[in-house]
Amino acid sequence: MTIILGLGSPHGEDQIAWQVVHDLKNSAELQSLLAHDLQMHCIASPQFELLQYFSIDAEMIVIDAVKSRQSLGKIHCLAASDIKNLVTTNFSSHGFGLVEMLALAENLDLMPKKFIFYGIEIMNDNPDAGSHPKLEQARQELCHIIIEKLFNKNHKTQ
Amino acid sequence: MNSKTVNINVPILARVEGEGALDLTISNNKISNIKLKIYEPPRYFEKFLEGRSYSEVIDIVARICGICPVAYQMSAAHALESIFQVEITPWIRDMRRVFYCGEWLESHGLHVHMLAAPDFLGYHSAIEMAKDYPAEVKRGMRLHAIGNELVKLFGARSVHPVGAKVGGFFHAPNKEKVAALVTKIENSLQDAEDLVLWTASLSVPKQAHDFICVSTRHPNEYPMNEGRVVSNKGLDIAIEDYANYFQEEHQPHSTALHSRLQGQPYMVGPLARINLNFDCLPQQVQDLALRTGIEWPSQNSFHSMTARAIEIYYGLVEALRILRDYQLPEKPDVKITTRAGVGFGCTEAPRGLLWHRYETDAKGLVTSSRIVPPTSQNQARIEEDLHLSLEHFGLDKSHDELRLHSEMVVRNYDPCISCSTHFLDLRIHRN
Repeated sequence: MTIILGLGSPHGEDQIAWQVVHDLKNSAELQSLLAHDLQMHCIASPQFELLQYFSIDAEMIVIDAVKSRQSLGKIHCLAASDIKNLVTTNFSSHGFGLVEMLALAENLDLMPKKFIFYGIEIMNDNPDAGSHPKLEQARQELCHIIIEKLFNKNHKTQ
Repeated sequence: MNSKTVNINVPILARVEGEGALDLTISNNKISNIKLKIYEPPRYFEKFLEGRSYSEVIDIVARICGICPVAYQMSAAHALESIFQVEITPWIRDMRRVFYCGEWLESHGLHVHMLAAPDFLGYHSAIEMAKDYPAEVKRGMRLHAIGNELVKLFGARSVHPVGAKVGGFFHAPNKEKVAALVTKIENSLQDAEDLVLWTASLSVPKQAHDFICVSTRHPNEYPMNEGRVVSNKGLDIAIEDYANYFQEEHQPHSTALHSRLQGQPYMVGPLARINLNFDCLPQQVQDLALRTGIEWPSQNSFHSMTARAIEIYYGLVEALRILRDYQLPEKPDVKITTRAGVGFGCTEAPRGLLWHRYETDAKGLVTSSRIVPPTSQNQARIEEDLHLSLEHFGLDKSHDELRLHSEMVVRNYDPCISCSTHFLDLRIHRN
């Protein structure tokens, strides 16, 4: 089972992950997988409900918008080990994000057997911001990457 | 005699919602200074509600808090409905209680497991605690998730729900959805019962202060959306009279106002609620509360965590009571006819009493608003508690021990600092 989670909100550039999930759900290539081997969800924020999707038997792909002052539309690909090292111990739920969620999942023995994070670099925090051509391009590119990945995996298991 | 001066500065309080700090000075073995410093910027919600239509208020005030949006929506809805002389149906009244049960579950569940419990088990964080207590943390996640589902049932989503409105709800969930949730709630009761007994089994400091408790009280039920404002010192007033008895004042060290009841600090929140309304809890909840071994009413703020656990159990019992006989209403809302006037709403947010006052014109536009959150009401009491608690704990303890104890006292109140910075008196001098 592969679980794809898009983190974000319905506003501005922050909705990019939800848009990718939406495109994946509508892609013809994935329709046959959707019934049994694939789940896709949009989550409003990396809150604790994210943990309910974690399962040690699943492969998980998490998509989110990121801001790291790199070029707009850049697609980052990170493993869980890349992200975990960023955890702090003094958090409130205001500061409880994906980093902390992964640390919690590991300590609860809920880490999926495979975890990939895709971050799409955004620039504009404004919730009213429209879409930029570079983000549209990144959206399509990430869909293509994920579909290929899922197809290659599916063909290997057949 | 110890004549040294000890300064303890906690620049960022950990495991509280929002950003605050603590300054403590001990001179000659006495506390000479305690300041709970809130430095989050004021958010001016009351100002930018002015000129807005009543229909926008619910969605705007929900943004005051990501953890307790339902509380803000309910206080606002009741206040505005009182201006427009709206009579909600029994269905709306009941479902608003279910909505609120959901918020108590998710907020209290989060606080108990993520913020408070690590203190009493000797961990810096819930992440560390999870390694040794995975079953307990997972239980907390499950209870938190049920709370989110209850909020989503009527709100369409758990963060800043959009399903509530002045006059009711936009949508009534279908019976199948409710039935599925009823099953989940039934299956969660054991978790909640175990949680209450687990929190009560944790070793907490023993102290008993003679502090003032304030909450709402209703003649027929444990308070959520309606009731009079009462205290354990004889206060019993209508919510419209709140401002005649409670005063807010600006403290130089805090962007959140301090609140006092006729000059005295007071506590609001789960411990105050249970202390003042124990008899209104259903018998099965009272029985469980008594099994903890705690004598109610309790004057030990360290019993706040167990009080939250009891309210989690109550939330499930109450939601079950209402939803087991769920029927679809004719309409999920009632008609609104705007009018000019002043209205008040006072509901029990997870952290305590949340009081709203609105004035509207004949078209239903807000001309003034005032919002008093529970955390700002608790600030003076937190400082009082710190003073008494630390003296009892022993001022000759090490710096780290004093710091940790101070933080634990603050965390007993589960302060939501972002909510508390709702207003700052702004004066502009132009030359």
